[in-house]
Amino acid sequence: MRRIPLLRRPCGLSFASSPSVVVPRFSPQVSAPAASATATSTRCISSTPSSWSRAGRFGQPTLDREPEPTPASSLPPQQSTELSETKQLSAEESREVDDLVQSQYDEPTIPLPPRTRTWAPKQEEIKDSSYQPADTGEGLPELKSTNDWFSDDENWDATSQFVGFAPASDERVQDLRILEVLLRRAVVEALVMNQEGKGKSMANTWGMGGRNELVKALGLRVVVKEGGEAEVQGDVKGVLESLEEVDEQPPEEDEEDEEDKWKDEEPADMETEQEAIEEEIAPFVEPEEAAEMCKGWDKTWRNISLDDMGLKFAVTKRIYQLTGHRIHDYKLHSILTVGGLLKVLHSKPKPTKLFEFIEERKPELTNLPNVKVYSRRVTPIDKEKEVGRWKVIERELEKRGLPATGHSHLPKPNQRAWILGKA
Amino acid sequence: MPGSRRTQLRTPSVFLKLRNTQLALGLLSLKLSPGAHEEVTDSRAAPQGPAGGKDDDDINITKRCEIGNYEDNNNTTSYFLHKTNLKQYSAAGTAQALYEDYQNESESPNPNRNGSQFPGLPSPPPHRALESAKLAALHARLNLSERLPLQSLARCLVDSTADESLQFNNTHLAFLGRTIVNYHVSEYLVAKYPRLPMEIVFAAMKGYAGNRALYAIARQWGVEPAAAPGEEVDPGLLQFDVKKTGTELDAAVGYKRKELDKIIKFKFRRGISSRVVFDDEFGDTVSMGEHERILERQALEWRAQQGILSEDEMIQMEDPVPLEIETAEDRKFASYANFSRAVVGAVFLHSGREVAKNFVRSHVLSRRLDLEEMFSFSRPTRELAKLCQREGFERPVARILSETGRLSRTPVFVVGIYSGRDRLSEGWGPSIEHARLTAAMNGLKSWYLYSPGDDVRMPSETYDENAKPWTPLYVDMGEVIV
Repeated sequence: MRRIPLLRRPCGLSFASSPSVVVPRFSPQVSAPAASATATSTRCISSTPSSWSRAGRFGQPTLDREPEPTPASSLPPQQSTELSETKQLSAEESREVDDLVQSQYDEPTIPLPPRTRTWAPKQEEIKDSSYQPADTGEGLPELKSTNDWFSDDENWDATSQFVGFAPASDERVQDLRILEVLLRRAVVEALVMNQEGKGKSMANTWGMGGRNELVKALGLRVVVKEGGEAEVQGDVKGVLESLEEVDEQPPEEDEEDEEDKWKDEEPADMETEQEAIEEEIAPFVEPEEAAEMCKGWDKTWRNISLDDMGLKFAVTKRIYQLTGHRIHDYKLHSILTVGGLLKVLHSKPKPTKLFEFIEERKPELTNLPNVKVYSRRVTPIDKEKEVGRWKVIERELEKRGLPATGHSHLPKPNQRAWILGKA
Repeated sequence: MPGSRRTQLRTPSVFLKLRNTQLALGLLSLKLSPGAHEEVTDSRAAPQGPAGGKDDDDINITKRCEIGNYEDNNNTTSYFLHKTNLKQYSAAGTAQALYEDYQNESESPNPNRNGSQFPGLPSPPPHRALESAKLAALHARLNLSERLPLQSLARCLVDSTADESLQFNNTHLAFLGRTIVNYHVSEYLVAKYPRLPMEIVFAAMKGYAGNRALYAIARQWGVEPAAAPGEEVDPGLLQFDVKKTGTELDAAVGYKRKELDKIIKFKFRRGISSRVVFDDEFGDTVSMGEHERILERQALEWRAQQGILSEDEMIQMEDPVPLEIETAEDRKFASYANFSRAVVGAVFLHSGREVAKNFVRSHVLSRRLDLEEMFSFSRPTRELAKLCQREGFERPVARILSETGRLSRTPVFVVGIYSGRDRLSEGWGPSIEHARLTAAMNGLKSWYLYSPGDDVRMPSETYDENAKPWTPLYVDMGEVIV
């Protein structure tokens, strides 16, 4: 089975803020073990539970009264902070880590029970004289039930998260200047692919690439001829390689650069580290910088024709991958040049809500003194509030111990469970 | 109804009332700021409210200062001192109810300001007036001038039972509007029907400008009530609370009768002359400090509970004076009427005297009131005879003018009353007596309802710059004393 390349970091709930989830860009078999050790330590391989390395794995009994944490539950930030500090792992531990990373590439992991069991020592075996067994359950930590085990996000690790091809709809690139820069990048890369005759690789998924790849692609010169045809000059091979390198090992320079980056920014605070990581994520360019770049190009590049369907699709697919904006097929018909595509990217989407439509197109309606336009549905509660009755209703319901809104006080419907056989 | 009475002050007192109205207008010199009410406060010597009254006002002011730039006057004691809910109650259960209310209040002081039961401001802040579609529609419907801002109209819609703060309710505007409305209505009546008996004048005043009439006017304007007052309510709705006592500033005319308690308790008759002197424009007793009385009663009950009553107080306890009960409906009418008056007051302040006069004429005086229906005579023949005697006519004689069906089941007699050779009036009826009485009543009505015409000049015309010199109006000496 073909290995699925991990091109983007997972964007699930619990991983949004965890730096430990950044996908390692390198394969475990790296030349310098020391470098790898530091790299792994700073890259926070999150699926490594510290308890694995510490006690459980080697069968040592733990004096900890807390139950052994599951592999995924060791993901909380406290663990990763621990790991993110530059700490020299032992050789054994680093090997384990490597194994784990390798296994990540092998197949997605599901939360499994710990491999070995541990038993709490009996009361007689405990040598600590200050230990007192508890009489009541008060104050003892409570375990979560297993009923909702799989619906709890904490029990799933990085590999179980869906990794999309493009940014999610709420993470789309919105800044117009950055969009232009990324369009230029997409066009250049598509032209590179076209030029070098790699018709087959056009259809493949291209590597995302980091800042370097962006700079490389933008560094190429584009010569536009009269008919709209364009030729790319410069380090075409380099760009091509970076596009095709998805399944292969990434080049060492990339790794070193990234290592350097990590070494340079070693904040004690985890939050700034997160911010640093987020900056390194696509699109790798600031709006002001993008604006400057745009000024540097002459306008002829907008005349590049996208008549060739293959080229057009390649560009739009790359745009989608980089920015998250999908160009509707309906619009593709009318896009004949890069300028047209830029216009479509820059265009504002139609307002989905009537209220927004009125605000934009017919503001005079909102300015009428005897007209009130609401941004959302006017509920019966809104009507009661306008008349002043709602507070009275709330007070009376409270007197009787009844809730004013919601269904949480009602029993949950169990028909679904019956149908599914109490599953 | 004209009964036996000695003197009757009529003409001078009416104009006394009018003059007092003018005084009132001068008193409330045209400010919407809270300073104006200071004089009235002092003259009424309202005592301090219960703990927290002053603070509540301060909190209120501070919160809204940024908007209205109102000054924080320390004299802004609220008129409404009694914070508990006054529900309807009969004389029998007053003591217990009052005592319980008093106790409840003292035990669990209301943390909310201005006596409201709910947190937040008691009425919407002024800036929200600009957001209300209902208010803007009302403003346009009434064709109010641009000079009258929406915030003023919103203030007109807040009754004193909704918000105690005089800076944010319509008490002052309603007072001003009341004087203006009553002034114009009274001059209209007196000028147009100079011989109208005083009782009818009082009734007609109520008919044109009383609470029920102004309620009807406000309803016709399309004013809707809020279910419960509060800051989240739409500013275009009229806010009032039927469970509370209003704190309308009492009329500029009138005095509190010394024997008011007995009048209420024993339902003493009040003669017309005394009404002219003491009572307000509608002939109703002026009871200043109603809420003070309530507080006194409460204190009495409490002292009774503590067992520290004096002898006089004990007597008072056993024989409690029934307080005037304001029903929920009365409160509703009063609140709407306050709104209507407040609008007139606001129009006067923002647009001027002339515009206010036109407003009153077009909304209040344009309504039809059948004065003929208001008369009720006893012994009309005697009265007519006295009238003729007073006026120097010949003795009235009733003569049958025509008749039909005397021996049938349905006779009709038409009787005419003659004074000498002149026929004063005629009337018909199923019997001669009936017809004679009807004729006498018609004669009296035709005398009392004499009118110099619709275009009679009114005293308020003299305020115009280009007014012609004033010639005295014809106003009669008064009713016939039987």
